Amino acid sequence: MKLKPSIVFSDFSGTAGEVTARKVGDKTFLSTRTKHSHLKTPSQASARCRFSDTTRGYSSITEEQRQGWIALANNLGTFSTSSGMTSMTGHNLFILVNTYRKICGKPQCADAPEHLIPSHYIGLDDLWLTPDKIIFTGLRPSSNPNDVLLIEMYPAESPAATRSWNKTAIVTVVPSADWGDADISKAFIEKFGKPLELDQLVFLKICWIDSECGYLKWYTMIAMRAREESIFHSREYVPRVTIKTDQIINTTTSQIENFNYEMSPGSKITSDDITAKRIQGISAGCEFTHNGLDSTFRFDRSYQLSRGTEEHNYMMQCIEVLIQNSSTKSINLSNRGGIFKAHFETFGTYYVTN
Amino acid sequence: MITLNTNNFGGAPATFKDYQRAGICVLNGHFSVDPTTPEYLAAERLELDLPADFAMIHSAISSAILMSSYPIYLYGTLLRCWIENNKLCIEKLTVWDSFGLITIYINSAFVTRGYRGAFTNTESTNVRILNTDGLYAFYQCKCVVNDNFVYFVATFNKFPSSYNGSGPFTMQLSGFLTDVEVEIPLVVQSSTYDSTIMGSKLCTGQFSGGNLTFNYPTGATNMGGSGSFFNFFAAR
Repeated sequence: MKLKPSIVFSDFSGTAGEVTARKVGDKTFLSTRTKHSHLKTPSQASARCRFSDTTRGYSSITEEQRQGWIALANNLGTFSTSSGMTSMTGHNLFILVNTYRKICGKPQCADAPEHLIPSHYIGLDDLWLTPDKIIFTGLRPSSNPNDVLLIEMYPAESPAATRSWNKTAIVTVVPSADWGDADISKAFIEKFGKPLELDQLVFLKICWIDSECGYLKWYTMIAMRAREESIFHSREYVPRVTIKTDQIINTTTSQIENFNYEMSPGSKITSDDITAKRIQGISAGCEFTHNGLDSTFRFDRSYQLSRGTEEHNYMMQCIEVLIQNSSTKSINLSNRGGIFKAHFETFGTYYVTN
Repeated sequence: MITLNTNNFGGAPATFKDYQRAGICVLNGHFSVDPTTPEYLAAERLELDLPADFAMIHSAISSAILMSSYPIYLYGTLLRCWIENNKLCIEKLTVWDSFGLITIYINSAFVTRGYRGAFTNTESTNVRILNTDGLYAFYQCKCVVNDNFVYFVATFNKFPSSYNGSGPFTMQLSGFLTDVEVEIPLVVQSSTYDSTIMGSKLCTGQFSGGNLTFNYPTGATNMGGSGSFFNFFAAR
């Protein structure tokens, strides 16, 4: 710390111990020096590890391979992106492409690809940014089967934050939208450790990027405050009518191996793919409890074609799928025709009747 | 009607009666698959190319029925079927390939997913069996009718069996549309079965004039009876 003599000997600047002094105008401010916690979240650890692995990868490729990356970067030259003009070295290009490949679960590529595919904008219908839910809906599919959805976000700490586009971090990569939906609620919590708060400002970048040889060029940028209604159409959130495997509670007599059930309109039609097994007892069916569906749905039934598994000779049966969702939340799969086989699959599209 | 001219298993063009909308399509038809062609042997799944202007590019899971050429009993099973990238895709099961030509029946609806909104309850149509010969009685029956297609599922407490002869048998119905013409597989596996044989016994039935007509092959035993069922969509 410097000590500047003055008439009252009150000018300080610098740091000593835990105290930092700074002079602004004619005032001297003292503050406690911030210590780095040296803690890192699993997400931060993963990102740092991924980056260092990829960086090490560049040093282990041959000179010929490096020249390939340099040539590819030179071909790109200076190019425009959603955040302005940019250019890349061969080293940076190697890191960039292989970082995205690693995120997409692809192995590192030492040889520069023959060509690069720029990322591109997304089209979507709506977005919810709420403390409970971050979900995109109506995402237009990409025509490139290798494309994945890359999502970066920055939840601003300060309500006055502006120009925080350089602070966004990768939240997740979604291989493909689920009938136009991408629900990243869990991924957001894993990344940032806590949910959004209402009115919190969020910076969001999203694009389709080729998982094999993609680089970031064009991306959709959204800066909005978290709220309960949807961002673009001010709609209340309505979930899809689905029951999935993780919403089924197995019993001592029956076990679900797969449960993928959804209702479509016209009036009520189910498309589903269910694999179930009766593990004890003699009843010609299986029963479970569930925690899917909201209270709008009380009692729904479909009669479906079914087949035993290969061990049960693929024998066909007619299965009644009965979903109760009022005083009890139960699912009964009961044989209504053919010979009951204890390990079976029922799937297809059928009317739901009551 | 649509004709699917090309496929990945070396088969002939397949014709379907169809109803097409962006949210729901119904297809009715059947086609043969020769399990000895090089194209079939190389295929991981069966694909038929839909017309370029088909209303649906992707669908949720639906179903088809495989009917084999197993002598007399035509053993078969249920297959997964769906629309993907403008192709009608069907699961490939090779269990019955050694018996020769396979017939795939599609009498199914295909829908899309991702809907968020209100639903209305499905209205069923009351269908009754008019026969007084004591050969038929529904166990469960649901019939749904709209201007464009019908859905009909029925399981039976009583149904003609091969002990009643070869037929033809006609189930006369009140309440089923007379303008629906469709050939469907009937699952006629009796409670007596050989556990070494794969699949369920099948025969074909024809809906016409509001009634179902079918027969059993000559020499068939233990076919039909209680527990028989069918389940189909049919475009009008």
